[in-house]
Amino acid sequence: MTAMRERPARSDPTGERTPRPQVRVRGALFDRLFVPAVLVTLVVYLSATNDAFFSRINVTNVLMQASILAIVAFGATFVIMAGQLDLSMGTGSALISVIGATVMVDTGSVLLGLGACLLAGLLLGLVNGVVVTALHVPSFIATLGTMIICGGIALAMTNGGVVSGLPAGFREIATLRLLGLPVLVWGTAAIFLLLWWLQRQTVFGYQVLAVGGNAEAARLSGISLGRVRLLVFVLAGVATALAAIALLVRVQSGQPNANGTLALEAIAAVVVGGTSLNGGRGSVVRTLWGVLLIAVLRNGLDLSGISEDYKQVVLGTVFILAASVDFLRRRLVRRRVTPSSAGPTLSSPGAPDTTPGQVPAATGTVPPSSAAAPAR
Amino acid sequence: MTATTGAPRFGVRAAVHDYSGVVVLREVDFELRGGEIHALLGENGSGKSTLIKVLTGAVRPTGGTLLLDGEPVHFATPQQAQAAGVAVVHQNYNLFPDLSVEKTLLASAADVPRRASRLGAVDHRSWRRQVQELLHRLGVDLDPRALVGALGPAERKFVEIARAMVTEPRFLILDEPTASLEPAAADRVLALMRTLRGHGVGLAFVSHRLDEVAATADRVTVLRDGQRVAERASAGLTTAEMARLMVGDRPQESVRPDTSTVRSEVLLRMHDVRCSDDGDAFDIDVHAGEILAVTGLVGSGAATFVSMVGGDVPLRGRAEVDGHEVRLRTARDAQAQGIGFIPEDRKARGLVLEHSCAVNISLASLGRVSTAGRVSRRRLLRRAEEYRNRLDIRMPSLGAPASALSGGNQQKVLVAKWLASGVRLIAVEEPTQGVDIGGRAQIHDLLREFTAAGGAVVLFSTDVREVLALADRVAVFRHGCLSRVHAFDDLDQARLTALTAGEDDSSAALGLRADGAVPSSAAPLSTPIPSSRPTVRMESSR
Repeated sequence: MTAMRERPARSDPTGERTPRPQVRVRGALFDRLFVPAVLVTLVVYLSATNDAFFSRINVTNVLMQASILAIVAFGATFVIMAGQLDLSMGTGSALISVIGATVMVDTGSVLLGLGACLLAGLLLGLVNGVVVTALHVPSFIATLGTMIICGGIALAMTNGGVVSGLPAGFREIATLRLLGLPVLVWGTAAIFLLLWWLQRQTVFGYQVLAVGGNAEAARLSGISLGRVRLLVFVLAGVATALAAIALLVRVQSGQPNANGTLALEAIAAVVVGGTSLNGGRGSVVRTLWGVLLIAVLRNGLDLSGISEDYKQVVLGTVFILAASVDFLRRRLVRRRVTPSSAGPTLSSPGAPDTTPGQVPAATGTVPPSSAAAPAR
Repeated sequence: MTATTGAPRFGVRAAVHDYSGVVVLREVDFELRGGEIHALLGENGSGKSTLIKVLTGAVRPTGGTLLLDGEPVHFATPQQAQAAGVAVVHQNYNLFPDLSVEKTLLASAADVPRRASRLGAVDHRSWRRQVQELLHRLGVDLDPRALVGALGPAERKFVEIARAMVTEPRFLILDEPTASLEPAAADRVLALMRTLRGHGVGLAFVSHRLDEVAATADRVTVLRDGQRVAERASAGLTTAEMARLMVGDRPQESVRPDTSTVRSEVLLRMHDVRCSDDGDAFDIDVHAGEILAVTGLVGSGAATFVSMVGGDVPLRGRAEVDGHEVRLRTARDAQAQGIGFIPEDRKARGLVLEHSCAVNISLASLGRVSTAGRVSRRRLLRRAEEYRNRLDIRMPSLGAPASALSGGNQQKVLVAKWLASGVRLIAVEEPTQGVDIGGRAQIHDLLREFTAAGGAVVLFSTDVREVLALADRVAVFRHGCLSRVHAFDDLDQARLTALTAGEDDSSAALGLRADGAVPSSAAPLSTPIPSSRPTVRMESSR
């Protein structure tokens, strides 16, 4: 491709025919605001029914708990947008936390430990990416393999015990606060902003979506499928390393048994947020909403004093409901934007009210009327 | 319930339908009688597809009444329509390639339990006998045990029709049954339709090939902008009249300009190209400003050649661009040499359907709307707007998904994608398949404009009229290799059809060469490339 760039177009001569390039289709707004609306409703409900919810300690706690899931889910978003899966992020982060802790304990250097984490994450991502792109192993199988391998190595390295006794300097970092929020939350926010920029603003972000949306079309447009897929797994590997660092910050030790189901929870968060598992459609912003929704829901269940066992039952149910809502939501949007003729699309009255009504009724936490309001 | 006697009739009166406020059918009447073939004509977006959906229960119309033998009926689902004796054959293959013919038919037989089961399990022997009977009745020579995936395109269409006929419907509705078929295969499908007519079945079908409509249909209904503009016997109706009814007063086929835009400069020079394992190698040049049409039957190598030019499949042979030998193994290689490729199946392979038209237009040239890897959304949209105006792409908005566009407009998006990336050569397969007449002329004009500006087009088309309307030279392929290159003015419709079908063209037998020897210099423009093998040997090698 030539390096030549298009010069800014001359003032639009046909401006009167189409006054402004209109980017969004109707229905898309509803699609984008659905999860945030449910989240807001949930937050309003929780703060109204429980005084403890909006306390500073609880809010900090929710954000801290959400951060590891968020980092992994942001990375997983790219993998899923490219039409792949990465199951190795959970045990991968456990292994990397062990590696990082071991290096820190042995060398006494925080920097070396963090460097080892990033290096290990990079390596994990490269292995996943090469197996998928060069050996043409489906990513589900490839990363299932590395998931098991990582878990095994982590246990073998530690005999199942935790690696503690991190340098004092690292503990100080962990307790740092900025504007009242822990450094971990700020770090997560920074990662979010970086990945959001990467997805929305860069050629790479467009290519990821194109490869996930239609690999053949992307290939015939001169996009290298192998390169994009490899980079996506490398990105996920780095996110895994960052999640491992977040884990070290939180628990101050290498945890070989941690995060067993984290990769799956991350995928769930991505899907709950509204990113398509088929690839080609999604955003880290959606994932942010999905993660927050799960975190708040989990916190709400904690506050209500429900036992851990039942909490899992509820969360699993919510995942399934959220995915089915995503299907309904998409069908709704598709019906609005793709009539067989290419004429202007108008929203059909009545239809959208059914979908939002179903969720709250099913989860039993949100009054239907309030959920339906932001839909229009 | 005293139905009027006479031939069975099925149809709809005053059908109205809108999709979310967009009216696509306006009080359309349609009637299909038993024992007739009724063609449904109209451009894309004229409401044909919706009418078919209404008739077959896939869509419930906003207004209007379905009438079966004069009695109002309601179809909530296609199954109900089927039960009432109305079956449909969809445009695209909805078949299971790994199933045998008989299993495929079994999978769609709603009343198998009654007809071929023993204690609830399928009695395969009895079912096979029934399938054989059915195929025999249809006059189709097919082995019930053959795998569908191994069948040719015409046979697959037979299977689809047979599948619809399993339920013994009185009315059969076919959506573009011949769209993806070459002429000989299309003729066989049309012959089958005539057989069914002989059995008293009422057939309605959609086609963009007006000559086959004139040859096959008894009656013709024409839709335009959701309204019925004509319903008449097809006898005495010329294809030109049909086309005029379909498009109204708009211009039809684009007109070949008087002056040639072909330049002497060679853009792409190819040596020792092989399109198949046993086909012979050949050389061919593509000139700036030229439309080189490549045509041939399925399996002739013509489609493979165009895919190789476009980098879809690795080139077997050597390629020179601007006198330099280049690698042409992937689409990326092709793009690096200024070659773009528009595949035949634009939905599956050309567009990212879920993504916006704007993104699709810039997909092959994201670097051009970005600075240091950062995409400028503003520039992306501005350039999409520019091509939307320049190419007259009809889209609800720049952000609308590509899936919302009609076939012709989707094709324009793909052309825009390559224009935007600044390629010099476009390899394109069947650019107007499934595109209506108006869109077809516009796409032809676009390709001509591109060559007039110095670009080159390598066009694969099995549409003889399209080839003759566009091509400066026509490369005819047979049996996996280039047979001969003709100047367009040497050809007419009949001759080109005969040539592609493999008729011996004695005047083409020149320049035979010994095995392995390659003609040294590229043939000058409009001089035939030597045919590589005597025709007689080609036939015997098959």
